[in-house]
Amino acid sequence: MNLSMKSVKSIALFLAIVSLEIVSIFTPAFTQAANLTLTKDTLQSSRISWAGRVKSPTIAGSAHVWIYTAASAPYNSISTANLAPGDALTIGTGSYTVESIVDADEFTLTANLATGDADDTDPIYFAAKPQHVITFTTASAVSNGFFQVLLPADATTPNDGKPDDGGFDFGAGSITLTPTDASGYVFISAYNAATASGDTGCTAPANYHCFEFHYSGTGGNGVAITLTIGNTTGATTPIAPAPAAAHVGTADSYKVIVKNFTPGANPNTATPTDQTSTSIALIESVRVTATVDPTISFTITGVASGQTVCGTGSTTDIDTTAGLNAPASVPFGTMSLNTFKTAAHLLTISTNATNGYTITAVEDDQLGIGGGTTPAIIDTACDSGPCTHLAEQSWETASGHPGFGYSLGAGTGATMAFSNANTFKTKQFAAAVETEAPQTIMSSTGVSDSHTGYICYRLSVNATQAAGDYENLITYTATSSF
Amino acid sequence: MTKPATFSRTIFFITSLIVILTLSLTGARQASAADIGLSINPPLLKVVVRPGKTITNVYKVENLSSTNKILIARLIPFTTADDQGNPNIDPRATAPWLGYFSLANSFIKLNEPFEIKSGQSEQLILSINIPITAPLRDLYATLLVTSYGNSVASSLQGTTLSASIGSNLLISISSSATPSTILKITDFIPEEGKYLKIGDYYILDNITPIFFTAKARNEGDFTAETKGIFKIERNEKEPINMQSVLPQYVLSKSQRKLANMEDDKFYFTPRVGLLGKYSAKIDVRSESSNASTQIDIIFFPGKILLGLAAVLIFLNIIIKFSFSSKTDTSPY
Repeated sequence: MNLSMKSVKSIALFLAIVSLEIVSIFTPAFTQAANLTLTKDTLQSSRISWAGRVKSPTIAGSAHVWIYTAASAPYNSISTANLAPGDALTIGTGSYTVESIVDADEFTLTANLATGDADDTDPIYFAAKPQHVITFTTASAVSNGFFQVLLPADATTPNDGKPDDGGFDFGAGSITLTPTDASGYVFISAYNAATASGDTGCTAPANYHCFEFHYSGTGGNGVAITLTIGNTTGATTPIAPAPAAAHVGTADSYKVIVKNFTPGANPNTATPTDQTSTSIALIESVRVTATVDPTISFTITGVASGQTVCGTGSTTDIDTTAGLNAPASVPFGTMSLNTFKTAAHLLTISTNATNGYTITAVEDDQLGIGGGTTPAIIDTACDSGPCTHLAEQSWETASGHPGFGYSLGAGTGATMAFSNANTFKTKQFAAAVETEAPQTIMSSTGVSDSHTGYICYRLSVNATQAAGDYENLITYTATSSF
Repeated sequence: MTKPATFSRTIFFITSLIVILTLSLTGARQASAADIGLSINPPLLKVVVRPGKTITNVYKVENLSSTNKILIARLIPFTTADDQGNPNIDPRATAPWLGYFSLANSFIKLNEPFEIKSGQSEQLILSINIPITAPLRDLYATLLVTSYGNSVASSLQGTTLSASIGSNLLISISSSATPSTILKITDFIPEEGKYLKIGDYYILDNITPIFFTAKARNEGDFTAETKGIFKIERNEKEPINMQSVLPQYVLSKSQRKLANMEDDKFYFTPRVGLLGKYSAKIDVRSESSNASTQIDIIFFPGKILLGLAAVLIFLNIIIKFSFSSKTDTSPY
């Protein structure tokens, strides 16, 4: 008991230190999981899937599909707004391709519906399969661990290969996982695992698909990590959700969770070292359309002499490609008695108007001296006539059959009003002065791209024709059909 | 020296004159190989206008020719030329309601010439001012842009051409955005020569493809549209074939051939097992009108039965021939 006061203090200090050590050994500090930062799930496309229903009067053997405009979960797509030409659809059990969108509740397919695929309420699916690129920054160094990504899944049918209204569908197949190595993280592809919601090892949390990315290395703090789920072709990619119930044109939002585990941890039960969540939103695609202005264009081109454009046996004598006002004139020049002179023009028309076009011709009057009324070169009556402005006849003999008329020669695409039949089938021009309606010479009932046709003019005079310069005016009018 | 100098000047003058005359005779005139080319868009305007309202529509007219062109824009009333949607445009036609139309351009007026340079275009701003007292009805007109020759031929022996391009206007003057129409389906029959008609029934062969034709007649005062369905159905409720009707305009008091989406006749290929009574039906529906008609058809295996009959007759002949051959082979 001769201990000095100094000794007592030393012993007390020693015991205090030992006690603290013991307490510290038996009472480990709680580890607080940190947040992974800058976490994003970038989708290849934010386009939502489509799940609707066939509606009567859709029938097998037709390519025309009507859809229900009232939702009945899980078929909440009630408009064609998220469909586009070229989309691959599953209708009933068959595979089809959208050809065109008719309106809000009708579209057409490239092939007719098969029996059994056109029944009322048969399902229609379009599966959007966007690749997921998940990026984040680590919060701590976990050596030789693994990352787990959880994608929200449907509660009832998470892996049937059809779009769901409650989350991503696993796709009834394999999923490609592609991590990118980073400093301290060398990923081991063989250990990657993609497990559908509810399958072994992917039960908690419920209704999530599980994707594990295992790595070797020391890990690190503040390292940017990139993990990819699926491929860009959609072949091994989860199916994006279809519209959720009560989806009204706004985006459906889903939560994606990312966790970092230590090696050997059971992700169903273990607490991750670090974790975070991020949200993704899916919405109908915007159907991009481009408008091409409807238009109609019409061109008259001259035809050189020596051409056979209105049937064999009728060669053009007059060159309408050159000269004053060419090609807007037919300069017959000085006529020999009882001899034909023939000239021609090429008419070209294009229109993207769906109902096609018509070209009509009308003359102001018969060829008259100085453009006057009399004397006139009469409109021809043809050989065994009479041909009229409504009915064509052959006109191959100049002598004894004077006058002025026209024939038609086929070009490309257009429907000509009549055929020359190689005998210079001829009509008179309708005469405005006689209140005759302009006559159609070329037409088409659909879109036309550079339809062409020839019009050939023929003139013959006899000895009784008074001398002078004879003229008239022919008007060609091109209009679209309505 | 005076005479020779004068002589030389005279020779020089005559030579120069000859050269100039020769050049003027042999030198080619400026020949134009140009086309006449025009385009206009839009080629069709369908609009409903309330009385008392004014609307404008811009047309783009382009000169596709290789030379500048003098053009004149006019409005011409038109009527239907046929049942295929073609207009009958009489350039001399006129109507009091043409006064509703004018061009709002600063320098271009209706019925007055204007120039568009080669390869250039002009906008025609068409203003349509419907008076408050205008009768409720349709107006059909064509905005016609006509090209004329740039020069006057003093001694032309022949024909002068002018090219016109037109855009059709279908204007309904109505206080309703969707004026009511009265549309009827007429002349709905199978292809001529492919059926036998007994009473109201059309008997069709059950393995022969068949076309159907029909027309829509608009008995109302406003343009109607032919949007609808053609279908073959059993018991009037089980369609076995369905085709969309091509949407087309049917002008007031006119008729129009109906067509499928390929602008062709309605087409149906029966199959062998198709027998008995069916109906072919056309339903046309639009915001302002509905029309429906149907015909009763009976699919009958005519060709199959004829084929079987021919086979039986042929077999019968063979059998008879065989028997007669056996009889003939008798040694006696």
